[in-house]
Amino acid sequence: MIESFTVSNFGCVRNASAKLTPLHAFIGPNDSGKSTVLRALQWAAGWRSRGLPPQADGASKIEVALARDGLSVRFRTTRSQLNGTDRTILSSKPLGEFESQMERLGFGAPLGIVELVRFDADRLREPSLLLSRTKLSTFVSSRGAGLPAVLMDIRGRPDDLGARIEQRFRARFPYVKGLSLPPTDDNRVALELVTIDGKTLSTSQLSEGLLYYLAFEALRHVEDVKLLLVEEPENGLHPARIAEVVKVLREISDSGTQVVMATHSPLVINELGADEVTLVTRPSVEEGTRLTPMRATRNFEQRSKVYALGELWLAYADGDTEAQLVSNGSNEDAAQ
Amino acid sequence: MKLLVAGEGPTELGDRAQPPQYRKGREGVLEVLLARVLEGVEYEICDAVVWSRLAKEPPGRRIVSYRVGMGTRGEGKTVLKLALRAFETKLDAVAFVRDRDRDEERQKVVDDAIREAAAMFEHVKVVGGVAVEAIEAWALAARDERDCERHARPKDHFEGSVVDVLREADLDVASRRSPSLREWLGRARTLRDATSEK
Repeated sequence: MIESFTVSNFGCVRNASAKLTPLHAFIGPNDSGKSTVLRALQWAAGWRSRGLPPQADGASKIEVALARDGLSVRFRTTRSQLNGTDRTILSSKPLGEFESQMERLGFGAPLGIVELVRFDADRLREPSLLLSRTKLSTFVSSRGAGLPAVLMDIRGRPDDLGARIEQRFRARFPYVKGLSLPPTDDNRVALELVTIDGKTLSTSQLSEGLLYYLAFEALRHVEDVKLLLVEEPENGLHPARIAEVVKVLREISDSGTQVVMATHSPLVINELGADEVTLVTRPSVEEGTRLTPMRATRNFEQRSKVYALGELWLAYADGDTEAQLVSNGSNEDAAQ
Repeated sequence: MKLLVAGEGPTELGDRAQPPQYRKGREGVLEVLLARVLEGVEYEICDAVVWSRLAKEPPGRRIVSYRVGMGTRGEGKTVLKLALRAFETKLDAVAFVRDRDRDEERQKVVDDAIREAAAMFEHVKVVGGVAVEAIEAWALAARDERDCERHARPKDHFEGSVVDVLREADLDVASRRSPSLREWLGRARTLRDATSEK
């Protein structure tokens, strides 16, 4: 698990640090840097395979601390220009020692598969190519393309996982009798639903909420993901379903995959603990992105006794600087 | 002493229920009762909030309400939010009254929340309670009406200005007829005594 990280000069982040939990959310206004923080984590965690970060110039530096069962390792990746060429440099330890420590921590080197998803209903609806049996089952794109193939792969496993997923799915959507994954003319696999009255619904007839729910259910079974980054898991979901999706994400995190998300939904936040939320703001272009643990926001001790966590955010958020949350008025200032 | 007052509307808050530009100094029940109980105490009403708007208006902001589906429990939350608002704006006390509206659960929830607020925000005194069944019952009590708290809709039995009646009332008489007013005045006198001791 990534316990903490520091990001320097990466996109709109000048210098920011945060501690993470197994399930963690970044909240904050638009354009504050939430997605950039996720991309920084994606880049750092997949430092070998993902190449350079999307940065026009200057050096990017990301420090990450990983810890598990009392073992810990820190590493720093730096992107800089050398002889006019971009280089990504791992600068913490000799590479061999670093890789062996990562192996002992169970992360391998690099960290293992890092997934960043921002589901898009149109992509989830697309028929997909069948997965090779030698490949790990995963979505083809961060938008969710490949869902039918992932479901097909899960259904083909020796255990009854596919049946259990369908059972949970039917419990949430009682009009559904089952999932169907028919082949298409161009050798792809499509997703269809069969209703209890025998009708077959194509993906174009399925609601966004249903597709998102199914995708998150499938996500928990995508293999070997050590770090799952999720953008706006609430998209397209009915408020009552949001809690269920967060529950699925928590189950994923309980099973050993760290889940870090960016969200605009107080309903998502309501399902989390104070230590699981970090507020992202960008006071000015010069200062860049600032990360504030929810527990360190203004008068948190008092406010959290009155408001649920998501309600607290909404009650004091202004969608801009979030001054009522992060202004200098400390608990001591407000005390009498 | 700096105070926040909260009530359902103009009867409780007078012109303080209106935006500042529309205020002409008309008093509400809370201002009148506080003036009588806190006579001799230096105090100032610094902030006022209409009960139903509290969830939507943290200090200095106007945003969309999120209080949905809480029912009577929301009344207790509102009391706590009042105390938090006083705490954050550095006020010393909150004074409020809420109609019971035949909701006995509301009375219990509000009383519990007053105790909870006192424990959470020890520097903020909370003077409040429910009027049984509505604020007009207190004016009926001031007119020495025995059944003032038995009317489901006391407003139907009262003519005149609640504020004017309570301004001139013999509060001892009114307290005998209305237990809810007696309780409210008791809490206000506790605030007066605590302030006088300083």
